[in-house]
Amino acid sequence: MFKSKSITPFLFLFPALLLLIIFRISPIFLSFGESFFKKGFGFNAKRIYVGLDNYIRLFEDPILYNSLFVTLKFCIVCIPIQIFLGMSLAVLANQRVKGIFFFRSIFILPIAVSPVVSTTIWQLMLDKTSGLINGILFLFGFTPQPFFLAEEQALWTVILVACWRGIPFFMLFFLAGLQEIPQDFKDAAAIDGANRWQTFWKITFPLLKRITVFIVVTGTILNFILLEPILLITRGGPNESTNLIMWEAYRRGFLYGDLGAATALMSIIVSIVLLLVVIEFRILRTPK
Amino acid sequence: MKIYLKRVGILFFLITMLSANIYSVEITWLLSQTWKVKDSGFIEEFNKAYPDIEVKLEQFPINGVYEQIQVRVGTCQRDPDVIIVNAPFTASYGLKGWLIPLDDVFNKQEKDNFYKASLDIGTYQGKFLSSPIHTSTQNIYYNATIFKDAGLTPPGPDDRLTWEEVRDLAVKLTKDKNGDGAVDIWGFNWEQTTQYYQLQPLFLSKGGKSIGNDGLTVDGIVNSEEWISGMQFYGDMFNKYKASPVTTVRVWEMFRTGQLAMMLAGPWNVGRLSAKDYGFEWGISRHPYFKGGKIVTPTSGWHLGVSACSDQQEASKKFVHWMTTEAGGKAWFSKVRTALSAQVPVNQWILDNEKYQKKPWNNVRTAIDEAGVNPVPRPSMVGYYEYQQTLENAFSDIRSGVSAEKALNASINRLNSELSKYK
Repeated sequence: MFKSKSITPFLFLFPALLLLIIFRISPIFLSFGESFFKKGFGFNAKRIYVGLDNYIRLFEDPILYNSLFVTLKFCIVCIPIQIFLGMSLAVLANQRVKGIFFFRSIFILPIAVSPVVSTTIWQLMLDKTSGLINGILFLFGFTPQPFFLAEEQALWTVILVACWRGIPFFMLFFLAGLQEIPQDFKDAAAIDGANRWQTFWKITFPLLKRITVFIVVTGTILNFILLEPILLITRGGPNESTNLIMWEAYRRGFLYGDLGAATALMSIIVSIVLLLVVIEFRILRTPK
Repeated sequence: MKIYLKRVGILFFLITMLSANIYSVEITWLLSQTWKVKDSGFIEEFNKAYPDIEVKLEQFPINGVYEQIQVRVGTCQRDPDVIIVNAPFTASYGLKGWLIPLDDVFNKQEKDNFYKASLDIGTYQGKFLSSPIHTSTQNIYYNATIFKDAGLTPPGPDDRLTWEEVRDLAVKLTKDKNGDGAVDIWGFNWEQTTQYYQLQPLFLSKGGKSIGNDGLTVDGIVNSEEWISGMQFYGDMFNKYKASPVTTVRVWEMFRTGQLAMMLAGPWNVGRLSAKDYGFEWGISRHPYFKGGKIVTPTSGWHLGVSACSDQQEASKKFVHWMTTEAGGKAWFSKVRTALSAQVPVNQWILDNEKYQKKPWNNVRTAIDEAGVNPVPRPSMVGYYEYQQTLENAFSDIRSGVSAEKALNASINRLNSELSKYK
């Protein structure tokens, strides 16, 4: 029936696929199923089938729309910054100069630190009364800034923390992409009289397109489900200004024990992310 | 060969005996990481009474404890067996069926030994679900050295300042000592700066209510004039008068390092300040109230409950019983926390104890006395967790400069959304 040649790749893929199905794919479906139930109250209460009630309750709630708006604002600002600066840093780190390994190590340091540790350090550095950043601002005659504590500044500060971590992560992928581009292409362009900008724009950038698509998609997913700075610092505030959608789901499920609403919200998040990824693939796909 | 085998057999037997667990039952206790139970001798004291029960500690920051309870007890995992219960959460956990009744473990006398407010808040629908460890109160702790340096007289142990007097003093005590434009000594702060427990007296002193009579209505209550005015006073201390610091540094750390002149804080600080010389003189006075308003003090504290999904319920009940009756209460106070006991006889034992009659330990006597002055517990309601979390976010916003009216009105949407599932 099957030729051994055609089965072999699947056999190699099987262990990874199995783990993926158990730990990544099946929770999505289990969570989707759970979103149609509600846990009753009282001793030994059973799950009650409520149909679309959890979804209706969410869509009737203005908090959901505010949370979606905040998440969208966060992603629209954060993703382009991460991609632009990630690519710029990768181009710099790709230069063949003495000591470049040292700079590459410095650039990727943020992803070597645990998110919990780095988030806590940012929180201490940005403290209004005793933080390092406010100390520096004070030295230069500026008044102390509230950062995470003010409605107008909190989301931008979260973006700063997310970018600090995200930029080196994406830089690594761009760097890998840049190093795959054969030097011959650039040499040929130079012989044809192209300057550095023209070489980058006409040769390097188009050859990085596959990597860029991957980064845009990954960036969308990672930023959409960002949780650490919100969980550890702002907890959605001040005045819901950093209430990212993942925190909203976490809060409903793990803080308030409303698993029905939380799983419904997770299903909504998965649907939105899928939709965005499809749109991104369509826009960025390479014409045949 | 035979002798050799015999020796190996004896050796094997001895190793097995030595490596065997000396306890027959192990229970897991989920608690706050700020409680220094390990190496305090407290568990050893319990094991004198119950040598066959091993207590395994699982300690988390307090928000982590709440989340662990939601996730693990909420999904009916077999451990933790014993959990700490923030008193007003009893109703919510009771409604969800997370705790087993403890009525069969405590006799009438033991129940009568608890303060009535503590016993009541641990009871849901007639079942005694969480047994109280502490009751509590709050006093003003002051750094007498900072007062002296500023040429001011600190309040005495029986003085009760108005909030307006606290504010005026705090403004005078806030100092930039070296003239660099940065504050070196702050006037005042609340120890649990944004916590509902500590801030409830502000709007109750103004005549406000905590929640509607049905335990779910918030509109017209949380955004009432009394709440707005009480919480605006709180926000003004940070933003208008700039006498309280907006910081993530713990209030206790600022106080013990001489950066804070006054803090409104719990009786556990008597132990901390008495146990070590921090290089300044200190004292305590009574909980403030608003001029023309009511005297209201916070009360209630941590309780213990046994998870309904524990498979070691009998051993867990024994632990809860021991810890929240006289022997455990005394051991807890003397070895772990100088927080007030929820048991009248234990507090009487503290008052009679010679150690607590001498300075500075005698300050705990003021705290015990204050605990009886119009204590008002937090509302016992099924949605307390949502209520507390939402309001604490609003309080945090007010501290950051959002007007009390705006922050409290904004919290109504969230509260209505979260409490609707209980209607």
